[in-house]
Amino acid sequence: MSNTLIIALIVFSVVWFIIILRCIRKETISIRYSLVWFLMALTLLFVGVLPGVMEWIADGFGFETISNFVIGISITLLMIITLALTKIVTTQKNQIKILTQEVSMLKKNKNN
Amino acid sequence: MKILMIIPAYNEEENILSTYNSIVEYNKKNKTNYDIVVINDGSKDKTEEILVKNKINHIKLVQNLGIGGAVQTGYKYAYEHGYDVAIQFDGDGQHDVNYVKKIVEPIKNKKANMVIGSRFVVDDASEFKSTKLRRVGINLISFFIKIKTKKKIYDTTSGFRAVDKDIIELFTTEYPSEYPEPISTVNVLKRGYKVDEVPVEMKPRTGGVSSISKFKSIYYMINVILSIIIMKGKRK
Repeated sequence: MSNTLIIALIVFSVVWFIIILRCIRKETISIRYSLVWFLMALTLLFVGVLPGVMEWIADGFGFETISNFVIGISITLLMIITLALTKIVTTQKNQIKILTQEVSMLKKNKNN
Repeated sequence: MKILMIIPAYNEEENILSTYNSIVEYNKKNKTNYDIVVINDGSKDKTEEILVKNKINHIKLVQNLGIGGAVQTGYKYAYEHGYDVAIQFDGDGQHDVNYVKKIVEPIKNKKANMVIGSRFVVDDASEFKSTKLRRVGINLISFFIKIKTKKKIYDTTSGFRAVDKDIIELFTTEYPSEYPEPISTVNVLKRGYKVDEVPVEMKPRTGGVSSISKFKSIYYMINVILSIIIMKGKRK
């Protein structure tokens, strides 16, 4: 892995970390949902700081280059996050449906 | 027997009043007592204005929910008001109130928990049979329902149906938001309830636009079949 990539990874993960922290402070992301994003930032940082270890692990998994391994991990994490989000959206859609129905029925009773 | 007609309406300013009047006239002529609740599914046209002006019993959903959520509101209303039978009836003029008696009959005689007004049970039952592409889709869905539940349902997408008290209660908690007709039918069958089909005539829409465009029907079909295949085998 080239030095440029290592520096880019470290800078990116640190910036990413700060962005998530700020979101939590502003309460635009709850701690519960931020954990997986922190995990992602940590993984990238780990790759940047200890490329040797990562190279060894990547080799063990059969990746030819460490950058492919980084992409592989990132995509896997993104898939997990997206699936979780889809589940949350579906649950909330159902909750909104029930709320809409109940509010509309209450409003009808009030007007009668 | 307390009977409620649930009429979902989304942007039905052209049809809703004539649909309502046809039921009121039928009640007068035949001394029947079908109550009506229109579910205005967040219409953006003058549907609400027409409903208020004519003092039609209705629930105005505070936002659009789609056909499944709208109809379910009707079932909740039926449950809260202790109706014995709830009938789903389209607001667009496709369904004929003269057939209501026919689809309530099997419920009255305790022969079925749910009755579907079907275009396809008898070959020449209806002049309006829907488009070719749709019929292929309906037959395919029918095939998968048969595999899953061992019961042949001919008109799987018919929105003209009657249900008894047990099913009203079931539908207040379990009614699919998407593709409600075929999916709810499978759910009812899987729970061991009896479903009957009765031939009815349907008219082409008198105005407005159908909720399923031609472009979307293939997408609709794939989704419905997938939902049926992966449905859990629930039993009573």
